[in-house]
Amino acid sequence: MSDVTERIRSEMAAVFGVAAADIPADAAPGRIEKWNSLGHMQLIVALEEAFKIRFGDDDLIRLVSLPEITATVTRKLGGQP
Amino acid sequence: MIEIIVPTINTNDVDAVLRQWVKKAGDRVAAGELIAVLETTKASYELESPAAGILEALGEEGQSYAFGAAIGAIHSDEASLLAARAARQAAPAAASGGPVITAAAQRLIDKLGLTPQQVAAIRKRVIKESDVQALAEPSAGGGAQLSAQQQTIARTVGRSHATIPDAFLLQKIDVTAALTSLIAYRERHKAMVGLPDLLVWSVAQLTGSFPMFFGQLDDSLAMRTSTAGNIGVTMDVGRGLYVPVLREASSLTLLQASAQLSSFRMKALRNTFEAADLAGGDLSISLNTDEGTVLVKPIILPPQTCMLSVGAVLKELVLAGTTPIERSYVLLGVTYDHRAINGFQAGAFARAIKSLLEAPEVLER
Repeated sequence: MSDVTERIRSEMAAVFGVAAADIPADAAPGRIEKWNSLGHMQLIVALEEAFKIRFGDDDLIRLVSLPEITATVTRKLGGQP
Repeated sequence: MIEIIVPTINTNDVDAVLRQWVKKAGDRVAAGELIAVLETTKASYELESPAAGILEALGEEGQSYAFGAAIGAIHSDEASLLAARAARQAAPAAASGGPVITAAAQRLIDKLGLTPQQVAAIRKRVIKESDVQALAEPSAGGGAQLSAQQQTIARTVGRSHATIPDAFLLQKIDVTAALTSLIAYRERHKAMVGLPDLLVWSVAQLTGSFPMFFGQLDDSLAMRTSTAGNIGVTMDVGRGLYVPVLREASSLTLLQASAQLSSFRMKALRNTFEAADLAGGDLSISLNTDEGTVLVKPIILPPQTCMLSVGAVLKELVLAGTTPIERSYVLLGVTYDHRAINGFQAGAFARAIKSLLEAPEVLER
């Protein structure tokens, strides 16, 4: 598991009030109870602050799983997609 | 002569500052040509000429004008312009140098029973509703003033409470199947579509069946209905309350509606709304989905006739035969203008929304 994924997991755990270890590799909205529309926005804000990045309008609707988020954050950090 | 009216730019404000006349008094202008720039607390707004002709500019730059107020006129010829000027000079208010009182301010003055002397004590050339409110409720001992944005919200809710006799209906909606269907829908379309998106989109499908809930009711109790499905949705991510309007939602797919709402959420986050995003709602929905929030009873945004509200998803145990099962539900609040809508209609509207949300196949329309 990459360092980026682990940091995202850590942010998710804080936002959704669950243990990082309980967030599966394919975590997605609805499969974690508090990952709803409001929780999604809170996660976006937390990730922007944690990684010092900015998501685009299209990112918000397309970030529907932990793998998708990891790929997008990695790309924005200038690493491999 | 055609008056230049300050439009209802959005439902968050009740007035706008005339920032600049782009055209000068006496200029000839074309219909649709930019003539002035207005500014609300949220954004600037480019005002276009309602007709071709000669501009008579009456509003003063830097002053606030209520939505619906006339700030000038377009005249077809010089004779019309001169006649209007002459009539204005003969008007008592102008002759006496009396203040201009906005319609909303006058209503509040009448309601409070203020005397002309009390109104004159405001000592402003243009008296707005907020000026009258400040007169009626003087600050006690130099207390801190509310922020400009909160004062705007105060004016809107004050106007709503003062002018709209509302009634309220509560509807329970089982969303267990909808939540399960949304998980599959998101995975199939690779898009973050949530229950609030489904609610907003579902409500927009009902414009034709419940016309009195979608549109604007004016002071003379004339209702202008709309079937476009322009739905305002509250958004507050801790950076200010906005009510952006999802346009013509009744002709959008759920995926399209969700993408637009997603874009609005980003704008709320970035504080980058434009005036056009916030204007022209026919009905509004207040989303209050923080964990544990059962329901918020919303106000109606004048001149609309209805505001819906929805709380967080709640859980309960129910019996399926003799077996207890968990069920997810939300409470839907329908606040409606009782001048235009009665309880029977409100109940039918709430049940129609419930039917859509409880039928997951609606997602595939």
